[in-house]
Amino acid sequence: MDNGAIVFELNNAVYSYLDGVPVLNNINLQIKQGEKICILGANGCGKSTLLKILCGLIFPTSGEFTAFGEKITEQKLENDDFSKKYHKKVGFIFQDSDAQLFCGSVWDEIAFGPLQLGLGEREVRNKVEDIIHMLNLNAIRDRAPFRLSGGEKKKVAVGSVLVTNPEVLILDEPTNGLDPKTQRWLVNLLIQLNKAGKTIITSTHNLELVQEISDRIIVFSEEHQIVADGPTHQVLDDKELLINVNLIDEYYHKHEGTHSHYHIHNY
Amino acid sequence: MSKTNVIPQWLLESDVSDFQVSRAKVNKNRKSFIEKTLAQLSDTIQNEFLSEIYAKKDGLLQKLDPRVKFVSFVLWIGFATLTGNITVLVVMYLSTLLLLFLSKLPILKFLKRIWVFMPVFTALMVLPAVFNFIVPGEPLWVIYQFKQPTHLFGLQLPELLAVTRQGVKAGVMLILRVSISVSLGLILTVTTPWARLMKSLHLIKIPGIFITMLDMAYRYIAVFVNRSLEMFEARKTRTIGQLTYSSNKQFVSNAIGALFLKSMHFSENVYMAMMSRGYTGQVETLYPFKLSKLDFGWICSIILFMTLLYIVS
Repeated sequence: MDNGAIVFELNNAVYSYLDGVPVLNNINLQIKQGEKICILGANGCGKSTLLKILCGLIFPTSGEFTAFGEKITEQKLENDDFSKKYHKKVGFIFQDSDAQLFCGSVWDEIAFGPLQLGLGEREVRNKVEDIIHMLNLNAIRDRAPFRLSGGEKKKVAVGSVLVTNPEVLILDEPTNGLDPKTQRWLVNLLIQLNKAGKTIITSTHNLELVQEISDRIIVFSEEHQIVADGPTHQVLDDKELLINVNLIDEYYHKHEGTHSHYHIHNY
Repeated sequence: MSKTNVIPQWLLESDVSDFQVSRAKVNKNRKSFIEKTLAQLSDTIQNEFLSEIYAKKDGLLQKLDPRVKFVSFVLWIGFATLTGNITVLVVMYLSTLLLLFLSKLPILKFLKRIWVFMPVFTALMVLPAVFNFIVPGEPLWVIYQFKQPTHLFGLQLPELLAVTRQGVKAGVMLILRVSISVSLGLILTVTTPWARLMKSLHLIKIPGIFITMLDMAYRYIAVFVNRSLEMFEARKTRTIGQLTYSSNKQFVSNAIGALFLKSMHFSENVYMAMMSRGYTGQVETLYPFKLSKLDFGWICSIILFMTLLYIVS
């Protein structure tokens, strides 16, 4: 699915913190509508920073970032109206659900987004109820997010983002700490949403997951640069590349036609 | 394979040392003061406040509209602050106990909670006021009668050191006022689900930024209490034997620093999470409140009660 309009474009983008050490180094990238992309890389390679730039939460220190054909700058996002419209289009699911769930109850959490976007009371109620129904959250609708289990928190976080119906869904390490069943649920949901035309961008370490939730992979090196960008099977077959970016070691291998995984070999 | 990945031989051998409690010293596993305080704080926050057990009970105050409750309690506290009649104050305090009963709250537990800190904070503060050199008046209990004029640090002391009737009255009134206010505050917060209480604050035009701050503090205090407890627990699992006072002190100050940095990082993420869902400085909320007959009944009885008290005083 690569015939859609360009959603995001980064040209020579650099992001560095105050100490001047770049977290993203000269990034050039195009993402089209309807793509499902995984961003791979070892810990600390700059994946989360890239996702935050795409979501309009931080801005490149130098270089250009364009989204939906519009150049994105800090000044533009300081405009409340523009900021709301932008965040309506791009949903971001944080790695740490505790940071994402800041309201007093599950219902309020899901209602937060649509209320901020200024939807009418009736519409907000309908949408929240639909999401609660879809994610089967009825039993916990009045509970405080703090009291929920890890899987429930993630579900509520996903619901609180999906309720505004974003065109692009960005997920930062979404399966971290989730049990296999909840992981499976999330994968199925992402696949369905992508079939409906939504762009899905995920950063993960979970190589088994990658094959299901992406048709394209972008690989970051530990030098914070993009070292590969191509179809999923092609990148995953390039074992040498994945070893070079410190993502796998030599024991990782694939079984013909099925899946890839680790074996513990005798030392 | 590179040498850095080789597991050292000693790690592959099992440790066969005895696992026995030394007979010479069986210490009770004493928790430190801070650890105990944190554990109890975490317990209270999670089990009593966040789970809102009292707000779910089927009592009188739980059924009232939070706005009506909030406004009537503020009036009640205001009235208690302004009245100068001790009998009225006693009646008002007794009626807060009645409210506890009608709202099916555990009266003894709440009394304990209020009266444990009341002597420490308020009684100590009002203690000097009962003496004749602060509040002059009719002596109730003479402590000491000086034979001649006495000077202390250049100040001339009165000939008589006594507890005065007026002083005791002022002290008792202050204690009663504080108890009424604290009880009502506690009753209000435990009988109203937090989210609804915050919404009622919006409706009575308390500035949004203030409510957001209050709401976030309430929401995240539990997260941070838990994270600090985890730091203590993590250290405990790696501690063998007793630690010295100074190393404990160092750990606590390090933990405070670490928690501060964590909370900075965390708050940045929370803010970003809010922005990514359309927050631009103003929180929008729904107000699903409707006044019922019970609310009107409550308003009428509060007005009647206060008028009666006013006439009496």
